[in-house]
Amino acid sequence: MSAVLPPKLRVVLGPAQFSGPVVGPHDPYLRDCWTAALGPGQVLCYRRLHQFVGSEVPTAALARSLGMGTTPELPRLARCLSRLAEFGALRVEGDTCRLAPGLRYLTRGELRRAGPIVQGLHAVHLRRQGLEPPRIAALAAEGARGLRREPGLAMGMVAS
Amino acid sequence: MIGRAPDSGRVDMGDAQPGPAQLPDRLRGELGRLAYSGLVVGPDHPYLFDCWVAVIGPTPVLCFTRLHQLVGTEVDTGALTDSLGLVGADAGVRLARCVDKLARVRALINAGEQILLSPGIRVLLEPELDLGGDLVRDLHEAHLAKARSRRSLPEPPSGRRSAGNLGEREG
Repeated sequence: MSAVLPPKLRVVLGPAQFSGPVVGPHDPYLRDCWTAALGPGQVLCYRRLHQFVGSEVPTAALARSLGMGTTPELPRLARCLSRLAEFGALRVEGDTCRLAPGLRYLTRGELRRAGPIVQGLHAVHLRRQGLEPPRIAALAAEGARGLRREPGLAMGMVAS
Repeated sequence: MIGRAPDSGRVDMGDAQPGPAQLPDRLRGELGRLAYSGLVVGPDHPYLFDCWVAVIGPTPVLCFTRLHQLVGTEVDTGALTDSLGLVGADAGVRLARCVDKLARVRALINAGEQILLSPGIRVLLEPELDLGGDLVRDLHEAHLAKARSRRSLPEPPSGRRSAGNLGEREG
């Protein structure tokens, strides 16, 4: 895994990483629920990167635009991208960042750790979308297992 | 939404009183008064995620949105930190810092067990736009242009921007 980011990232849309319904970068589910699992910086970074699909973005400017500092090696942005990669949200290969079009819903374990506020919001989102909680839980578990079982399929950070 | 509000101005981030080291075990969110003149954006407005994040950081931005979802209720502070992904022994201190940062830009008033939330936050000022760099400045201009076109507002006179009320929510 590369800790040093290239000066520019070419942002492209990668393949979908999950079967079943996913939440896109501007879906309120992302900030309502994924914030607890990923962290606020990661959620807003994922959203921001989607604004640059098809173009190049200077990594220093990206970090600055997210309030992640301007120190030369951009450690906060590097950690943020690694975390997103762990969850299959993106893969950085050299100077290319392949973004997953969306993220799965949270698993039962993630919801347990996220606590009652997020559990309530998750239930509201599913109800609004007409999604069945047991089916979504099964698909989310399958998606999370898939990333762990076949790390080659997961969108990780790859050293350039 | 982007709208107008009373009193304004630039908030000096350095002149605020130091915030508490820790918040109480339970917090009650209430809607307070708007603390700005000029243009304001609501808690779900993409402007917050596009522009304010560069100035106050991602956690305070999402904390502001989250607190608005809890207006009128009493919430366990631990549940609030969990919901924001703040983990570890210092999670409470980090939340207190985050609340303090929001208080400095007048997004809320921390009154002990009660948090008085401003219905919205003003748009960024020049020095703050400088802080965010070109990406944020471009997004800021795009939001204002969108607001102007939606409301068919004329270009503001003497360089003063006027965006009207966007009424926009993300998602």
